Amino acid sequence: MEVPQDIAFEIFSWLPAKSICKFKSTCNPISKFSEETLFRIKQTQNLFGKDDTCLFIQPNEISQRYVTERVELHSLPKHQLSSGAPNNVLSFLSKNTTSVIASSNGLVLCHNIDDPVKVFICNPITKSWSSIPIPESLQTQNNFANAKFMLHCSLDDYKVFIFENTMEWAPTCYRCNVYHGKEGVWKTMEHGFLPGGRNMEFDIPVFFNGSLHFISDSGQYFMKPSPFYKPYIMSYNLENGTSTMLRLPREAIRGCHHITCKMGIFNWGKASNSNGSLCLVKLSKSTFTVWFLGDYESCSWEKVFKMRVKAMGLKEKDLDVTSFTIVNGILLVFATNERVYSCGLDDKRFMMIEEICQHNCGSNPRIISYLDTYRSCGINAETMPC
Amino acid sequence: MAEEKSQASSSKMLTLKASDGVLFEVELNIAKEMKTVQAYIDDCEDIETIPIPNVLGKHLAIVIEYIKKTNEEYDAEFEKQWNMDDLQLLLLAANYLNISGLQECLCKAIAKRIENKSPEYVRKVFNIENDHSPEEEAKLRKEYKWAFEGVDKD
Repeated sequence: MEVPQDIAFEIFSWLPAKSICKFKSTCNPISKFSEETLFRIKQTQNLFGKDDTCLFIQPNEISQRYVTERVELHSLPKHQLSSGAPNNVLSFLSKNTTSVIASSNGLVLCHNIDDPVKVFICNPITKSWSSIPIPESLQTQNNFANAKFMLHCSLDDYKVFIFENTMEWAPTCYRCNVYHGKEGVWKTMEHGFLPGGRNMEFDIPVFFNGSLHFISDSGQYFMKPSPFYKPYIMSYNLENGTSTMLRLPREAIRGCHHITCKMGIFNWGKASNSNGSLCLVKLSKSTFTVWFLGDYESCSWEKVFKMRVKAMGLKEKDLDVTSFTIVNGILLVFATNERVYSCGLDDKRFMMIEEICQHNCGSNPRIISYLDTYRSCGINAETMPC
Repeated sequence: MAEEKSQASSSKMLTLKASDGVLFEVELNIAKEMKTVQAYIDDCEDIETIPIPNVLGKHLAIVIEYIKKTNEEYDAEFEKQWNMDDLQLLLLAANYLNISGLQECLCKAIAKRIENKSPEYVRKVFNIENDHSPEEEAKLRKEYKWAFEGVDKD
């Protein structure tokens, strides 16, 4: 059976990057496919919106200064054979004191821990990177140390967001600067983000419904009549800049002031299909509870999952679960000090626990999901020296 | 007048003749999904039987059924019934007849089946000759060593 080259081109553009690299050794014409811009664009678009296949595991920000193997990449169980990234790129990132901040559709947003102003987008598969020029106004020590970064990819462009505290007394306000990858320019949103009285968890942004969503912390530093007594979600509309508060489910708020309580919000379901939404994960007293936002307008939550860590049958005796995230809108991924596990939340794999990997990233490691594609790093892209 | 004409044409039947002589009567709106057939109709208005020289009866039957039934659920189950040879022949048919939805569905399915296999397997399946020199091939295997971790047995 023989297919013409242009049909083989189409077939291969549906493959994950790792398979494409492997099949370069089939024959000369196929080895050249991935060098063509059109192929890279097709492959990127074909894989847009597909599930992430790997996880970046890194020590938490503070520990990362003192640990040598800083950036680990592990495949999710289903994708063990067909996903990954070149080891030499991972070593390069690790050795150069790089911290991965975010990843989307094959692009990885990083900054240099020792020199935080060095921010760049890279693609480990194409070994290319593009530095993000930080505006002068942001480069002063104070502002930059507190700047919060986010990455969002659309089909043909990417945006990097930096939220900087305007340092106004009240109300607290964050200026939102947006870098547009295709044009290579920074634009500032007219209206800043007003997070209310509480500190926001900027490490876990959720892009949904045209807005960025952040959950607040839940420390007990407000008194009852204050509107910020209970923790909340604040959304920031990326079109018109309005900030809107969303309530959390009552059961989530109960006991949230407890020191072991940790909450996070994530994308739920597939962004592409109409059932996509937000979900809330609460880890308190070694029990996971998950709710999803059934109706956005009326803020009505539905509980979908509750399980004690002890009941999960994990290998460790010392069950200190520290960090967690939701991957691909349906998989709860969490880490102990030694291992990373997943727990299914969809019908097919509900409550199925799987070990993903062991890790060397200490307690409270950061988990960021990744999909290997040939996506271009945009203008100013150069080859990484590795 | 125009309304009557379109009503008549939507229930008009067309005959497609596969390469092995098998005949298929299909409704015009089904045939129109095959852009190659559409172009044929546009060129010669009063045609009754259209020859499809590159596609066997058995594959044309499958293609016609696909057009009638395609939806998300059907597409997800569609490719599971066919072996690799049939998938490729169906893809060539879909390509010749210019049916974009079916082409995409088949490309995705073939890609899924080969993604974890070895380069040797892929050469066999697509009947590809290895035109790399031994040195070139060794160089590629070394450079992309990480991509060979975890390959399905053929």
